[in-house]
Amino acid sequence: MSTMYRRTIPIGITILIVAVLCLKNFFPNPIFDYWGKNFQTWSTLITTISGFLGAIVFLAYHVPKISTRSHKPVQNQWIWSLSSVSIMSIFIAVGLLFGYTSSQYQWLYGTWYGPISGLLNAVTAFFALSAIYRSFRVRNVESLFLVIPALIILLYDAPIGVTLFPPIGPVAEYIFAVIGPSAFRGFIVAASAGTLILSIRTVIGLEKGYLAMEGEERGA
Amino acid sequence: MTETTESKKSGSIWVKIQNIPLVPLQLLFVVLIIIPVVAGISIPSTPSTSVKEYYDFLADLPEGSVVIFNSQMYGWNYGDCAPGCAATMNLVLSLPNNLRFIVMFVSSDGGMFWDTMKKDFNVELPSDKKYGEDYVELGWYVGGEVGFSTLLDDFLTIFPEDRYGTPAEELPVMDNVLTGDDISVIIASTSLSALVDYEVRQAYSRYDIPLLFAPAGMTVMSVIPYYPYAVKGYITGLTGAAQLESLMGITSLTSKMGTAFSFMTLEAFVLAILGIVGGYMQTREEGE
Repeated sequence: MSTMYRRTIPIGITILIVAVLCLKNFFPNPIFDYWGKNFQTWSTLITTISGFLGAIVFLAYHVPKISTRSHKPVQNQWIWSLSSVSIMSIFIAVGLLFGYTSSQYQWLYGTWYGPISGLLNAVTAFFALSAIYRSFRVRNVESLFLVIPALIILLYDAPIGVTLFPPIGPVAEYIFAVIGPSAFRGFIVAASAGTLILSIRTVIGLEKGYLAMEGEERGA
Repeated sequence: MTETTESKKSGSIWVKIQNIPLVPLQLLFVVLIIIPVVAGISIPSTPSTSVKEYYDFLADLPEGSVVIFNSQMYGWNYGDCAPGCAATMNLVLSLPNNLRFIVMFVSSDGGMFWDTMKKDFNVELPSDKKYGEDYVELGWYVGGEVGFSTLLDDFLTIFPEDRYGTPAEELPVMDNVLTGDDISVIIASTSLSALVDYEVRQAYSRYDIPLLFAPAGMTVMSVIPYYPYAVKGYITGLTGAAQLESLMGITSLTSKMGTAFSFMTLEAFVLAILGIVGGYMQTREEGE
């Protein structure tokens, strides 16, 4: 019975939904359109609910850390957990009380979240400086083939680049229009073929990696 | 810069260059960022082919065409994506072909960053344009690719109202915008490669909707495989936005940020050259 609930029924549901969505595209008719649209709407709802589930998982992890004043996995973990839960509570409280389009909520976002997340990205520029200096060293002829296009793209990527050094414009555009897409298209075709095979395995019930039980077995 | 045992032994200029302390370079970096923005220095930039195609595609659309703008602007990609959003909004609403500009967001915070962008870059509706008639902000769609696919099948399922609660039926800009068949072009501002892929799959493959992109610099490599077929043009991050503004003949915060970025890049370029030459000379000296 357990296998029925944990394996057979989920696989059956997956096969049914994938089959309807495929048939909707290959053989359009009102029945497949109706059910295909419903399945897509349900999927959207499930995604929304998963956000709520994420909040519960977040609390289930951090609240015990706070109540036991845990120092694992890092020293003073409970303080970090407390700050995380507090910030989340403030956002939820302001969102519920005033609405997420309110000026109060926007102030929280604009004053705290926006600048902090922007800062996290900006500080990488300082590390990039050091990385550029060290990684651009030419040790052999092969690395020269990587470094020269990298320098061209580096300059091309700045608004002043082509203005200062006009010849790099056509060269960089050739890299972007011919060399880059050639490599990436091959990558996309290979990845798409893999996705197609995965889809076919899912439809015929051979692919079971998405089932939680399979993950547990792997982890065991 | 880390000092190696070999470099300590040698005292040549090339070895010393290899060991320039990082802190002064970082301070110089900060100064180069601040000066153009504070002093308002704007250096003209040369538009690339893809930027010209981006501009021309929008300018050549038939009168009253529906332009969807899909924004995936977060806090951490704001500096690279916001200039493209601002330049595109200015362009679409200033073109004489009276395009209908419909904005939607990939995430719940998209609207807030869109408001911040309009404030930071002083983006305002032209006097002859009205919210609800020429321009609308629909809000965010949940579900990633599935949500995007659903809205192309039936817009009103995902967006029965705009982000301020006005029903779609009361918005003239939404007249006859029901499915992907009613859309002339989709523009996306993103740093997410997956968004590029799913827009091609769902919008171009299923509905033959041409795409334009205003990706962050790091995402442009995910866009170019589809150019010039599904993707008709793109503006890359801050640089592309500055180039678009130079085509439009306007100067804003984007141009100043572009100048700051140019100065930063020049410093990085000089460092890269020093690294290359210094590393080569150091290797030669060690060989001798």
